[in-house]
Amino acid sequence: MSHSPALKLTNGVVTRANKSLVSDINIEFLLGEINLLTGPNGSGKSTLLLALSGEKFLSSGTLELSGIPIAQISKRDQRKNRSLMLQKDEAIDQLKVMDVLELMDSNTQKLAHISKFISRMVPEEIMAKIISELSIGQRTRVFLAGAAAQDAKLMLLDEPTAGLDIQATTQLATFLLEHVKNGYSVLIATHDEHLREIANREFRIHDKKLTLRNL
Amino acid sequence: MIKIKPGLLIAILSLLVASAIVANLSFGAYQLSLSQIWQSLFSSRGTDAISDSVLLDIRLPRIILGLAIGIALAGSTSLMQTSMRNVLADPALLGLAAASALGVVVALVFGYDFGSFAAFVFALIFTVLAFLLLLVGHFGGRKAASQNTLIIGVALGSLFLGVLGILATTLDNPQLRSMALWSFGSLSLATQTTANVSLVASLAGLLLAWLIAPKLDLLLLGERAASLLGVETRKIRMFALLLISLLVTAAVFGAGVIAFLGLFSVTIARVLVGPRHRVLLITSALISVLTILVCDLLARTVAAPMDLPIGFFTSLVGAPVLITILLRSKSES
Repeated sequence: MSHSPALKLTNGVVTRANKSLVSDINIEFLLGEINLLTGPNGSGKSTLLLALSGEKFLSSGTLELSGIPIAQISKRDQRKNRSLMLQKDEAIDQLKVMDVLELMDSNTQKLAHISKFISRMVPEEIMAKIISELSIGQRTRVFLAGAAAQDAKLMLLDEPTAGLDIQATTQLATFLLEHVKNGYSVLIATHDEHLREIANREFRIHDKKLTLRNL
Repeated sequence: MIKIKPGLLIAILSLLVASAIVANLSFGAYQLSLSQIWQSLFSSRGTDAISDSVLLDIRLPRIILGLAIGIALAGSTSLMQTSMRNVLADPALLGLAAASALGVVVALVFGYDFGSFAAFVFALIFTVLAFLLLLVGHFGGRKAASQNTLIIGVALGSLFLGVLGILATTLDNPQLRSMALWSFGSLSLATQTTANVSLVASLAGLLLAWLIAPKLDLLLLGERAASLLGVETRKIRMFALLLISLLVTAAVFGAGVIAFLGLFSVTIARVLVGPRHRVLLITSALISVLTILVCDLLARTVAAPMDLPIGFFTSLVGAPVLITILLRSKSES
């Protein structure tokens, strides 16, 4: 498939708390691909994901979504371009599961595979529960469903298999394959070796540099 | 969690508020029957001079002021709790109400009348300034810490009350007397003007809060998530700040500093209907209005013809109810 890339970063430097974590980043994500982001703990995977989503962790570089510099895209339209999982440490404990899904939902006419994935991740009986009542694995499921509900072209996932049982992990893999087949793009920060089986490319952070490997 | 459908709850509360309004029109040092109330309200003046005057000059403004204060306190408290991400935030606790009160007294010192529009503007300016000070404390330090903000707010409040006390001693006696009553929270100074100004300001505040409620909901997912989901978080916070100042001013201008009622009604509403803002704003406003009307009825009748400060009753009724509901919702979940 040839499109303008869903996301493109040129000469990027990712910085957090005045320390540069990764530099010389030149990456682009085409639609229809599953990309992995790997590297040791603390190497800056999560920060890079946030930087790619438009949070202020880029000290230099040009970030473009679908060929347009991110500064020229309104916050509202950025929401259509990329989705991100909620962080496990966010203080959202008063909200119910259905509130979270409703707040993250960006498209009432989702493709069938997305709706199916959401209902698989979040069974009806936990819909009315408050987030703080959930186990870690259940929380991950809800946040995955939330990321899917955003229905953005590029899906950014941070440790999506943490706490998931084998069945949910398989359901996630099935969904991701179907998702990219429908023209979406996925970038997953992970330590999970199993996800390599479904990925097209792997970006590895090593010595503050990003290296690419086709899988 | 106590389970009740929000729509049903809002209907029940509205009905209770309506009955409380009728009770407040009818009971007091001078009893009025329903037909007298009906005649005074809906037929031309002059049929019965005393009941007309009691109703239209005293009781109705007081009820309107009660509605305004209830809406303003509940609205400002829920906005504050969301924008500061702290369920303990309350305009009286964080010194904003004291700042508003100080603004009114400064207006009096400059020679403006109690209850005048100028006094409202002074109160609004002082509230905004106090809020900015609070924000400097919240975001200006090396690390944003909501605990510090609480302490700074409490400190500011006591500072403002001190200045207010000093200024008050410079005022003439009649003004001083009404001020003393007012600064401890009372509806007894309600005139048609104060009541109407308060009501317009609080309804405007509530409407604007209703409009930004979906964005406030996204803030509940956390600062970063809200930003990623398309909320200009800085802008929405600044806007919320202005709304909070408007609402606090609306409350204090009319009825002084009624502590605790905002925290009380928002906490109960959140237990009953959850944190989503539209339903929370409406439910907490109804609870707050109902509490004010019931407490004011008590304040006017238990020692009639003496008019006790409403703050006595909001504390006496509020504290046990709040503690009971919190304990029950904890043990059931």
